[in-house]
Amino acid sequence: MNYVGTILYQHGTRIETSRIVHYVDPTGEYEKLVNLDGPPREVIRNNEQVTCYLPDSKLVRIENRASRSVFPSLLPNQIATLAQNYIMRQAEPARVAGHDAQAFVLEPRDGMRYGHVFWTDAATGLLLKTRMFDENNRVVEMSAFLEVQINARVDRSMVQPSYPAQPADWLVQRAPAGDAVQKPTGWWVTRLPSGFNKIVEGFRMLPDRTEPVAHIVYTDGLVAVSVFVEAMPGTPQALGLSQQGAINIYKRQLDEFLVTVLGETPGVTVRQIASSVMHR
Amino acid sequence: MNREQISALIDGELDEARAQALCAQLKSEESCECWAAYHLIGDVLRNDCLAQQGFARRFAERLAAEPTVLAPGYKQLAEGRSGFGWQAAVRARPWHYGMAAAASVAAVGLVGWFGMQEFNLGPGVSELATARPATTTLATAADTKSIAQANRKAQSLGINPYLLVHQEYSPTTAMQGVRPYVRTVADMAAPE
Repeated sequence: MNYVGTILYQHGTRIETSRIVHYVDPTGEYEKLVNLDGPPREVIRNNEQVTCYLPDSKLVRIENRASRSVFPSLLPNQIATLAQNYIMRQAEPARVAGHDAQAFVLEPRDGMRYGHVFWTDAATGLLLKTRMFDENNRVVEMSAFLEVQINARVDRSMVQPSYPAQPADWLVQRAPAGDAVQKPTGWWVTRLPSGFNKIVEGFRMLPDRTEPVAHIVYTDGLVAVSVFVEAMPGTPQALGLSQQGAINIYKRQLDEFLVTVLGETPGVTVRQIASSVMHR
Repeated sequence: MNREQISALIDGELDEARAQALCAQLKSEESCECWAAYHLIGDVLRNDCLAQQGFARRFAERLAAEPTVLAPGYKQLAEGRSGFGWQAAVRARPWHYGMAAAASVAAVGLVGWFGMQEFNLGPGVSELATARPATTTLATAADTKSIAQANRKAQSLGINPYLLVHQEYSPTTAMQGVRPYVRTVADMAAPE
């Protein structure tokens, strides 16, 4: 299904709008996202490959998301996991961006995760709006189509980047393509919030590190929390809680190591996990 | 309904009595709603619009409309007319097979949900690829200077390497395709 629309993203007092074009043909799925506010930036998805163009900095960042295939090993117990952590219900139909929509609510069973609402186009199932809310029912993050043409006439040229693949004088940064080899890192979380299960553990490279970083991922079936442990970098680190979008990040020093925990969860969750990271 | 039952239903492993019991359980409004919700949420998260159009409604209608279809059992059919073939069984028990199909769709939804939109398992599913060092290159030539330069640039833009790695593993994020990048792009543009 092809569609073209304008997406509004809201986090706190910040509002951003972006244009999205989605195109599917027998060779796969293509998307183009262009922000409409601030300096022009562009994200192109070509099946598993995501390329970010930042013309104002002459930087191209390429990442391959093929590693997501680690997830099938979880199946099929995700249904049970999800139901343990969220109360799921269908809410009243609503209208979003001029389309009749069905609404689905995932209400958290405890304070260690946010609630989620998904609105989908009643006719096609396209995701029209998402909302994350905290325990006081305050919106943490929201994204919604302001307008969208579903089954729009789209051709391949509309999902091509506006820039050459690798512009001559731009820097090209490739995210480490592979993932860590899955193996025990020697790190573990003593007080893992209920409902979170480990899905990935290993060492991996980060773009600006010389040594592999221990990386463990936990999920409650809907959202994930990542734990990174590495030797304390020479540069000063801002420790404690910070936020990026709806992602909470908690950094802490543990002996000569830096522990960084982040996820689309409340701050209390990443803090609890960070503070209970131990070496075996 | 637990996951073993769902798996069994998908695989067609349930005997007549258990399949009927499960379907009876599904007929209770709560279970039905729950089942449909599981399915739809899965599809929503994997951003797949093909399979599930009006699924919940059709599911509920069908469940209400076809209670008796469950009655003629596969076993009786097989015993009475041996060698009749599975097609006949399907004809005799469309609902049962419809259920199995629905369960399969739900399972596919879940697979997709966790990042397999193309169902392309390929090599290295059970074992992750070998760690490779980060490579940052100029379009024309790679040198250490450009790597450091690119990294500094990325850092100064507030691109959080942890966040980008994390994003790959987050079910909700992974399933929304390029859309969560609104978050990243927005943050990169942050004035602070």
